[in-house]
Amino acid sequence: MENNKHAIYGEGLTRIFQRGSEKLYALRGVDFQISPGEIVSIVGRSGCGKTTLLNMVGCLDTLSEGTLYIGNTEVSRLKEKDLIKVRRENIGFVFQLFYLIPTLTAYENALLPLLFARRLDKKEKVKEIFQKVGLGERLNMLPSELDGGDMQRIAIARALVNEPKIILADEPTGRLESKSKEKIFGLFKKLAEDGLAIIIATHDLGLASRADRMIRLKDGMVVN
Amino acid sequence: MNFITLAIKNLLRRKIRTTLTILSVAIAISILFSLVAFNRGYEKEMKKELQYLGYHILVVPKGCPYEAASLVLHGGKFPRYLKDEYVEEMRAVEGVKETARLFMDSETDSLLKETKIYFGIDEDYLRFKTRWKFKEGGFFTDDHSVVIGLYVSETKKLKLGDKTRAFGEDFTVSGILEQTGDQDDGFYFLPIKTSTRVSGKEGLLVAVAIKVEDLSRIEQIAEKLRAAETDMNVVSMKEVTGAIMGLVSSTRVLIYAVVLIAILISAVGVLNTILMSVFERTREIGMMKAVGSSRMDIFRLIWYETFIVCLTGGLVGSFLAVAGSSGIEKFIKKLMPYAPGGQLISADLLVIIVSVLFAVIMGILAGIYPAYRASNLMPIEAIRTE
Repeated sequence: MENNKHAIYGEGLTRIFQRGSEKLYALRGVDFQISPGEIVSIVGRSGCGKTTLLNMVGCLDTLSEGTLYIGNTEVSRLKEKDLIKVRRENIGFVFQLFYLIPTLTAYENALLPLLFARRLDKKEKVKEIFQKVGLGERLNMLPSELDGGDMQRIAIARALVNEPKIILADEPTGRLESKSKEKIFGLFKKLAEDGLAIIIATHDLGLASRADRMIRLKDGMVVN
Repeated sequence: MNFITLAIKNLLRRKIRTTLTILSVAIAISILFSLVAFNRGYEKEMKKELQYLGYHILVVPKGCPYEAASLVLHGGKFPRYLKDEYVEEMRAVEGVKETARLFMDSETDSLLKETKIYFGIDEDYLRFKTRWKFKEGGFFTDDHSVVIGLYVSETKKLKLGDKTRAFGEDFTVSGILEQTGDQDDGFYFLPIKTSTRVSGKEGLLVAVAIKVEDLSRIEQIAEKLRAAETDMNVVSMKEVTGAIMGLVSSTRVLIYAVVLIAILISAVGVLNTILMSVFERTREIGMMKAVGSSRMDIFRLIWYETFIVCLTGGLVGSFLAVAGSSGIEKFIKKLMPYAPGGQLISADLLVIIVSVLFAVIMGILAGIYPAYRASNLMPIEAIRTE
């Protein structure tokens, strides 16, 4: 089987956690696809499987059952070393709590993925990305000197430096006030127009409803 | 930016904690540094000093022979004495080349809280002290002459021809010795007959120094001397050296044990600090994995942090040890049963290399576990916000 159309294509995605003799299904046979340029939101109550699904498609966790393609690569049975390569080349992560290193400047924080990918020769690209996310003047500022919205922009810049095809955002506006929320979502829109596939896991139904498509999860399954 | 600058910036996040950890390493390494430097210096100085003495055998009064030998080397008040008449019997022993009468007494100035050591000698002693050179003047000119060491001359501002009082009598400085680098620098040398008279010990000696004709026969000659008289101890300098080195070795073992414990505590401290910082950064490490770092990258980053702490501690510790070497030397000298007079802590390049290398090895070992723990953290921890 090949996946030429979707940025991510998953079929029967299942994740089982074993607690003693008991089996806990975090995901039960979820089918999931997203195309380049599309924004998909995932909603549901806490524990419904949003983060697990994000971990699966972000190659941070392994499937118990099912098939998953990131672009043309079948990742379900890849080893850790190969999964790291897939992550570096295809996926950018944005977290609710930003996880910026406080002693690094905005610019240095965004450089981290290039450092790990041994691609620091591409660091000029970071300045372009900062312009794109609206932080052109704040390259040398420390995270503590910026507000939540700006910190999330740095995190988005960090997610973009490896030129990924997919952005995975877990509650990206969860810690932001409404004005910043708007700006961040506007930025996601812009990135989608550039052809990136964007998945947003959120509790915020207002934000989720503005995505191109919304997937609702309950007890590890997709519900309409 | 590279992994080292990233590690440094991580350490700077908690400046007080990092500084204290570096300080604990620095203290352990400065102790190690001082000890290694001391060990190297001590043996060298000890051998040099015993060589400069020029004695092969020392005859001392009955009692602990090593205590008496140490008093002769160090200076002090003797509890027992030898009779002067024994010297002729010793000279008659086959194989004895030279003998020199030695007398010693001290006088304490309770106001100045200082003790002057007076060494009674005669011309025979010059044949033992072949390295002595006079900076000014020469040997005794009369029975109220005094020869002083350079340290005495400098600290007491005594010049040639000046008078100094000892045991209620005036003595004129007839000679000032050039620096010897041993205890002689701090002694007042008086004519032996005068010194025994003013001390009220006429006809008595504290020791007789002996040179033998054939060094390989020292023990046989010592045996013959022992047979000649019963109320004296005959010790060869070889025995004195051996006994002192033996005592030093046992003290050294104790000090090494203390250093080892200090280093272990410090290493556990480093391990604890880095491990704590790994736990505190669990999510951040997860984020790094999510954005593309491998296990090895994380291992390396945490290892560098430990390495930098220990290397900095090693360098700071070596610097502290060099800066405080005179104080440390005084402290260690107090612990030793006998310490020669020269500079015992000499900070040569090899000692610096050994100490810093030790810190580096400590860093490498202490860093393994936290780095391993960090590299095995699951990346999904970072994005778990629920």
